[in-house]
Amino acid sequence: MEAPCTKYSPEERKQLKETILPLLGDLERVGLELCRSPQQTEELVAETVAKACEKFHTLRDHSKAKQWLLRILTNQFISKYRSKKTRREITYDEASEEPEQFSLFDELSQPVFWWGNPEQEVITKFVDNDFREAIGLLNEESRTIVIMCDVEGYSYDEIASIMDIPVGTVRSRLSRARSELQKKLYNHAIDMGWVSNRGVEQRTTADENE
Amino acid sequence: MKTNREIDCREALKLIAAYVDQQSTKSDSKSLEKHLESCRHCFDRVEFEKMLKNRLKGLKLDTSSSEMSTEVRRFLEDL
Repeated sequence: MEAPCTKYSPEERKQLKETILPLLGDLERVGLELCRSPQQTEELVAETVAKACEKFHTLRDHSKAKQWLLRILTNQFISKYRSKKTRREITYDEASEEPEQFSLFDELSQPVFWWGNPEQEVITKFVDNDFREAIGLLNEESRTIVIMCDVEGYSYDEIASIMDIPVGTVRSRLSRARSELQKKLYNHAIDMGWVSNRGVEQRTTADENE
Repeated sequence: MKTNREIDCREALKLIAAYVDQQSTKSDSKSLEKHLESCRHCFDRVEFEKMLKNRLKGLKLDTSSSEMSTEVRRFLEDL
């Protein structure tokens, strides 16, 4: 990294160190969950810390340092890795009509088979890496919001603060991201032969019996 | 005493995500729970979404002993 920020006084540098250093582990963890590559994570964390040093004077409330750092990290991640395709997709956010939502439950559940929960059985077949692969296939915006909410466990308000978007936008983006994720999980389940492309195998049998 | 509003499956569907995320209001939670008492399909949906969320929660990494960012760490320590 470049020489320490010379624009700060020794006292400010001490404060900078005491603010960022304890949160470095959080940046590494979220960075690795987003990038899935240690090398890319190191680059992302280094860029985040460099930016944080540069903008440290803008941080007024030090109790919100973690959210502030995560905002820099996620912004860096999204702007660094997002493709042109992703930029077009983001415009959906303010669109009046939401694209149709995909639901894994709707595809897999079979109300007629009241004695079992085939949709739950399918979920038990996935290993952690299947979920990681599916998350990795999401665009950067969707990946970020799923990781922040479902993996890291942040509340809607916290995510709104981290991503600098209204809570309503958190809800709509999350809904869309989960729909995309469930579609990818469904496709994986089909590829693995756990379900037919008409739902779980039992559904075919039920249809034939009708 | 205030009673909870009865909701149908369509309304319940709109409340499920926030409920599973533990982000819904008390009133919405109560309305949904009341609906779940009598609707097996929505009950199964909630159980499924909870199960999926739990699996995703389990992906949280432990990087406490990682050797990443040694240069950044050194830079900060030297400040």
